Amino acid sequence: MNTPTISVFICIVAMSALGHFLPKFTRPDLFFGVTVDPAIRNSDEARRILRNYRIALWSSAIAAGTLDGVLHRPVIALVLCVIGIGCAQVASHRRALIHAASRATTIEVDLSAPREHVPGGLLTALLPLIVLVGLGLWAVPHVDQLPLRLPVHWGFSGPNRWMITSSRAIIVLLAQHAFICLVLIASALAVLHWSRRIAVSGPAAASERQFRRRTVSLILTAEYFTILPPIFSLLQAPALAMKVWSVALIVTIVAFVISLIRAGQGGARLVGTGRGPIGDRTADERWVGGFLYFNPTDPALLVERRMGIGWTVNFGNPWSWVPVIAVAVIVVTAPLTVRGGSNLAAGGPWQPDNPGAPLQNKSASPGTAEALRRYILSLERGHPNYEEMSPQLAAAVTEQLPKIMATINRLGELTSLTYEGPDTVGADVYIAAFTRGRLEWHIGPLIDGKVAYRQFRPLP
Amino acid sequence: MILRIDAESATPVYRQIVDGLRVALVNGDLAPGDPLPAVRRLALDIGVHFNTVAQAYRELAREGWLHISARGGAQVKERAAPIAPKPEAATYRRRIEQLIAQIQASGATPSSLARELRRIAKGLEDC
Repeated sequence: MNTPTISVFICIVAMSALGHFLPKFTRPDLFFGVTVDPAIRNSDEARRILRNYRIALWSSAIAAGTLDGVLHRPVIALVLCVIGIGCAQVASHRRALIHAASRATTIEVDLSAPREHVPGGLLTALLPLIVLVGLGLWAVPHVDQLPLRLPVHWGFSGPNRWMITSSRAIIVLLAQHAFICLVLIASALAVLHWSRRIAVSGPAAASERQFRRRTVSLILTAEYFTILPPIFSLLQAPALAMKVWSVALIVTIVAFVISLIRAGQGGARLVGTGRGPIGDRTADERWVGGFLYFNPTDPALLVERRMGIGWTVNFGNPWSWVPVIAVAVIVVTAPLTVRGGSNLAAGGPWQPDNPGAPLQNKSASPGTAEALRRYILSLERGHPNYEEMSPQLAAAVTEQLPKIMATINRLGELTSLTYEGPDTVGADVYIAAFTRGRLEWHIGPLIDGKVAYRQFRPLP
Repeated sequence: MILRIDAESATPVYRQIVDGLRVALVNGDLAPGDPLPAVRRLALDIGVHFNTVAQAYRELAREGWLHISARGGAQVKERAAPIAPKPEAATYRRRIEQLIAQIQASGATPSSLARELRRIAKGLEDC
């Protein structure tokens, strides 16, 4: 199995394992998103609902795993896994509804509850933003001292996507990470100040505060991890730095998640019985399928998730759509950073022969058109011509082969190859027309007859 | 200090907030200088619109109990005891009679009601 397939397989197993234990993490008086008497959980009917849920969950996981491992359809496999988990939850939610407890009509509020603050103060949350601004102020005037391309994405074997260095690209890169930091800060503040307190007083309320504090600490830690990749990229940190970063990130997230699971949703496991109101102070009928909360009359932006740990947005509050749109913006704009190098960029630190030469009039480097044509034809035959690539490019092609093959297979046969001129770093740009679409290719000069730098992106 | 709101009551939530806070203020559970939750915080915890809580705070501020800051926070302030004019006293008596009638109509026995009123009266005398 190649790397993406293994990654997707691990994702499927991890998601299914998480889904398996999800019903255990919730508040004891919530069962598949339905407010129940905690004693219901020990009934035969509840055990049957849980068993059926897990059977459905693992069935979809096996189907997804087969699709990924045997048929090599990782994206479809992931989607199938997510849909399988969702369907299993919705079906279990419907079965659990008949056990719904009557909702408490008396709402209690502690007027003297302590005001909660961001751990370490607001400056702790803002510091990563300040660092990014400082980095931008340093990097933009020194852009000519930076390498021609900077890594923006890393795989198991090191960087696998680059951006072409320019002031604009650096600003976009830093702005994206600053935006992610802002979304994380807003999430932390929303957890503290725009979500409902459920327990009124006593140990249950203290546990809830502790749970919120841990969650906010996790969000702020994630913010600090977010700013490290652009710092490493701009300061040209050794490849080891990103490996250490990856390991530290995984260890930190796992530690926090275990800590939150041990605390239980809303800190419910930190205290025994005799806690506050039944449920989470939201009405069952406002939950769609047990996991989507829609209540236009509720001013809360965030409410505790009914399945699993953490919070979810109140989709009935128009302001709650802001973080949803923000995340969508991040996902959509992320490829802008790697424009021109989105699908494949690899090779050593290739430099143009004469960086000062005007690029507009440069003709194609000798042999690039033929090399590119041979490469595309080799892909059409299903066997890339690794012998014509530098070791680094060959490694990158191996890693990204399923994605490359999927693109080539989708587009059909090569019909023409047209030289368009040089790009901003002097690589030759070709438009390759296929029977069902076009690709823009960037290819650097051949070094000892081998291609060291080549990348493509689909054209509309 | 716990504020209780009955979500099923016919009494509007803003009125329940005013009444609940006024009881705490009169009894001394909330002393001058004590901060109250911000409008947003209380609205979130009760699950009502911000204006509902803001309206309740404004009414208590008009009665002289609260000082409301520009940022939506509220603080209990020192309040000189007002002298109730005669027409007001008559209004209160009528309201108490109406309330007693309502409680009796909902099934409370006169003896239990009298016992409760005596307990409240004793509490007032002890103040």
